[in-house]
Amino acid sequence: MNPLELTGVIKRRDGFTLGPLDLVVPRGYVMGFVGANGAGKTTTIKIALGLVHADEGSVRLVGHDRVGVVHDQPAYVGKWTAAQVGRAVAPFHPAWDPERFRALLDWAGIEPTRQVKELSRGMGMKLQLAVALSHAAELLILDEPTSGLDPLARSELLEMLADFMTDERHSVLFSTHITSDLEKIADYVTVIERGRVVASTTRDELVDSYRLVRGAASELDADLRPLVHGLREHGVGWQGLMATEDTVSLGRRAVAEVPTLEEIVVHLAKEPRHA
Amino acid sequence: MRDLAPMLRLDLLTLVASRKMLAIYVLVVCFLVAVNGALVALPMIGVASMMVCLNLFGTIENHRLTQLYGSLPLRRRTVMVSHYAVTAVLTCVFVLLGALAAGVAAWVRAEPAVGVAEGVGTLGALLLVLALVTPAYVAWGTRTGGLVTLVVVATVIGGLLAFGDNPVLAGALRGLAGVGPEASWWVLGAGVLAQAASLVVSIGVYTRQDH
Repeated sequence: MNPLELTGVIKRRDGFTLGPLDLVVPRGYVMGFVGANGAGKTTTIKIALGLVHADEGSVRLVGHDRVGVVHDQPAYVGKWTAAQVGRAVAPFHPAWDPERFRALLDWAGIEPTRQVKELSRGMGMKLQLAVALSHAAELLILDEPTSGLDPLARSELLEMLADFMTDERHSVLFSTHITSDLEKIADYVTVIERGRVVASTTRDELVDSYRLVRGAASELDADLRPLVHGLREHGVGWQGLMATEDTVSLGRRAVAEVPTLEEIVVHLAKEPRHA
Repeated sequence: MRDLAPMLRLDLLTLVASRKMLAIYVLVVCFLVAVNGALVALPMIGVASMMVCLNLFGTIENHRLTQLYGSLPLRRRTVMVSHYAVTAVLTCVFVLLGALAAGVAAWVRAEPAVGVAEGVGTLGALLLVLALVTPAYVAWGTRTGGLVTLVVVATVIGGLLAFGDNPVLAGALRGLAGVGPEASWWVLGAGVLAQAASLVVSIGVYTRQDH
C-alpha cells in the first residue's frame, strides 16, 4: 500500500480552487511536489495531514504515528528548548528513540538547551527533521524545507533525506519551488500550477516528455501556437516548451533541446498562448 | 483516549513556557491582598487565573501549535478535552491559592475570614466565564474571540440596565440578591454544566475548522 494517496481532492477557499487533484506517494520513493508560491502545495499537504478538510475527494494516509512532518516554519513554542520539544512530542510516539533524537540534535549543531526562538531558519528546519526522524517514521512530509536555507544547510538536509531513503520502506513527499533540490533526490515529480496538477510522473520521464524549442518566426503558425507552453516571441523567432511528441511537426530550422526540470516547471506554469 | 495523557502533558509544557508571567501574577495578587486585605484576594486571583487560562490559547495561536497537533497522532476531540481539563484544573488551583492568601491576610490583619461559600462561588463564576469565552477563542482566535465576548457581555449588561425597571427582571434580581451562601454551590453547579456544554460546542467548532 502506498503511504499517501489523494484522489479527486477539491478545496475551494477565498476565491482559490485546489484540484481536482490526484497525488500518490509510492512506497520506497521520493515524490517531488513542485510549483510556484501560491500554487496550492501547502494546502495539499495540509489536506493530506487532515489540517484542512477537502470539499470533495478522499485522502489515504498511513497512521499519523508513522509520519514525520517538517512544516515551512517550526510549530513549537518559542520558549521551548530543543530538549523540551523532544519531551513534548515523545509521548505521542511509542517508537520514540531519545538517543537518536540527541544524535540528530548533535548532527544539526543544536544544543538541547537552545530555545526554539533562538534558532536560525536552517536550525529550525533541522530541529523539525530531528523530531521527524526520531520516531521510526515511514513517510516524511516536507513543506518547503529548503526554502531560505544557505547552500550548506540545504546540502546537509538533502544528505539526511538520502540517508533516510536507504530503507526501501521509506517514502518522502518533498514540496518545494527550488527544482535543483529535486534534480538531486526526487524519483517522481508532480508539478502543480494554480491548484491543478499539470504533470505527475517519474523525473526522467518528465524530462523526456518535453523539449525546449527555438524556431524562426516564419514557422510559428496557428497550428503550432497552441502546442507551445510559455511561448516567448522576439525579433527573429520564438521559443517555448513543447511535448516531445509534438515536436515532429516542427520544421527543419527549429531546434529542440532537452530541458532542465526548472525550465519545464517555469514553462508549464504558463498556459499555451491560445488558452 | 490513549492520546489524552500526552496531550495534557503538551498543554502543561505550553503553560510552563509562560511561568514568568504566572509568577508575576501571583506576586501582584499577594501584594494587593497584603495591602487591601482578604476581601480582594478571590476577585484578584480570579482575574489572574482567567489571564493565565486564556494565555494558553494565545500561545497556541502565536506559535501555530494547531499545526503541531495536526502532525501528531492525535484526535481533534482530544485537543479540546485537554484544553478544558487543564484550564478547569488551573482555575481550581488558583481559587485554592486565593483562598489560602485570603486566609493568611485575614489572620495577619485580624479581619473576618473569607468563607468557603465565597470560594465556591468564585470558582463557579470563573468556570461560567471560561465556558463563555473558550468557544469564542476557539472559533475566532484570541483577538476576535475576545472582542466577541466583550460585545456579548456588554450587550447583556446593557440589556439589564436598559430593562432593569421591568417588574419581572427586577423581581428576579431582588431574588438573586437575597439568596444565601448556599447559592454559591448552585453557581458552581451551573459553572460545571456550562463547561460541559461549552466543551461540546468547542469540539464541534474545532473539528470542522481548517488550520
